[in-house]
Amino acid sequence: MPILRFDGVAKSLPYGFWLRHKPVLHDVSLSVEPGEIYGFLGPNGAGKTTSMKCLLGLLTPDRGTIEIFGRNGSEPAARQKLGYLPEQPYFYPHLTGRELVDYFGRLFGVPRATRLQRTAVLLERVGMAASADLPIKQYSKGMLQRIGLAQALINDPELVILDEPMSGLDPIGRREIKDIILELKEKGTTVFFSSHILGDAEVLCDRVGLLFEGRILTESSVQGLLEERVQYWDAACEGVPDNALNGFVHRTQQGGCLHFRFDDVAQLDRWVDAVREVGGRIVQVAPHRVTLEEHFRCNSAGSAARRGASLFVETPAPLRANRRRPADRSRRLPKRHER
Amino acid sequence: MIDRVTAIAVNTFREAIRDRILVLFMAFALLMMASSTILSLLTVGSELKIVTDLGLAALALFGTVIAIFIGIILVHKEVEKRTIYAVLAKPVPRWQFLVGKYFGLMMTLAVVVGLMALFYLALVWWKSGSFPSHLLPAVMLSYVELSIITSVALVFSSFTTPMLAALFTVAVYVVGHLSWAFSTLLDFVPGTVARILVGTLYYTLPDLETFNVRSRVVHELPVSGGYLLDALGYAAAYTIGMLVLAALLFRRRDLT
Repeated sequence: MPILRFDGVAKSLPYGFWLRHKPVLHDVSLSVEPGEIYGFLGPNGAGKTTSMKCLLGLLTPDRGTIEIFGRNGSEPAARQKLGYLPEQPYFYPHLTGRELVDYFGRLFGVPRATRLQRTAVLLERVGMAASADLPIKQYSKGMLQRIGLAQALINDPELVILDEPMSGLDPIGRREIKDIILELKEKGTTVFFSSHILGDAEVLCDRVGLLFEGRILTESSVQGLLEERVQYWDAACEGVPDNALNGFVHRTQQGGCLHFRFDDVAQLDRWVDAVREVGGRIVQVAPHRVTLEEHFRCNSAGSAARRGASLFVETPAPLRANRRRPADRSRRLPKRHER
Repeated sequence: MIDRVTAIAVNTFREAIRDRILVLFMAFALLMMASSTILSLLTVGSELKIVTDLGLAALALFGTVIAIFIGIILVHKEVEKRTIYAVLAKPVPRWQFLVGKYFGLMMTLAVVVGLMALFYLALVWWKSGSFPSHLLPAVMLSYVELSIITSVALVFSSFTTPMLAALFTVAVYVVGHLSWAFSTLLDFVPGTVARILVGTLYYTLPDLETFNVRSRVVHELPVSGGYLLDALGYAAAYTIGMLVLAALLFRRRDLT
């Protein structure tokens, strides 16, 4: 049974003087299984924070349901085993770091002795033991993020929701947060985190959900997503007689090496056979995968194109032609409820 | 539940007392009380009455100002500064958050009014030569009145901006002290609609004059235990009503 489930969640929010409603989430369906690290990815403004607010009961969805541990997400009791790190943590400036963590522990009903002990351990773990007794108003952004993480773990949660946990951190801070996330996974804790930094997700996540303009575009394992998306193959060979491979369009010649680029594996197979036939030597065959970053850009560009706008810088023609393909494929992916 | 409400109340209390503005208000109140001893020199024969009168007025006035000033930002500030996100992401029902905030401010007011009262009573004691126990009901009822004003401020704070909340709360405070006028008006207004309107106002707005026994105690007239109990009961009922209203308004509010 999924530990967290969004089913057709839609939400519109008021804007402007007349408070007209603008849809932010159209149809968000996803599920997070126990013990996995789930990356909730999307560019700025995709609706990640709005989805998280719906999940935490801060916003009431217009349609759809959210279940946490099999309970309706709007029930406060459903959040007993949940830890949450808000985006750009906003905490009471009048409290010290230690007081804040202790306060949130009390809200979870953690007994005093356990609270004190856990607070000390967590402050140590996030590297805040030395600054724990300073008022929060004196904290830097990185310190806020660390204290935020400590408070998110005070109830020994089974599900941790992290909203942009690595934004605004230096490389060392990012590394430490990543280590903590991986440690949580080792302990069997489920982690659901949002990010627009796709590199982090590629390293950390078991599965990702890609949110774009309030809709989930794809939900799959990171590995699956990467394997699916071999964009083209780069191949090179040498020792081939002149005109032997005329049937293939070669891109460049470097020294005695001929470089080729193939869009599909069948074409590559034919090329391999041809090289062997003429007694040539294959020097390189390398698949070029679409990174999540490129995947995003494809979807963004595809969507922008539909609106008749151009969001991104022009890319060279052959690459652009190739890049459209994964975008089209992902748009064809069935939505969850259609599967 | 009690532990969560207490935790929120203590945090609200901490926030208020760590704010310098509170100290400033207190200093003003004490200064006004102290200055009453100088003002009393201007009168002949009734110095003690001036000190007693002005001191009680200062206590009520500054108590009200602090209750409104902190009350109107009680919820709004948490939403504006987004500190509420991390709180409501815990298993805390929204009504418990509101009740916690309310009691946090009542704790703050208890300390503020308590300190002002100590200073005031010491001042009168020094002037009169005997402990002015007859003033205690007025001090107590001033605090009880603040419980109503705070609850009204909380209602407005739970759905509107501090500016509007301040305006509405002050309006309720002023009209609340004049609500006896509605009962007189009821006998004179012609027409059913007008009568219903005046009647509704009379019964929904708090009757804050109930808590004003200042002129009685200053003249050393007794305030009966029954009266005190009635006033307490009325304040409790009104406050609970306001807290329920605030909770209903805040229950489904989107925190964007």
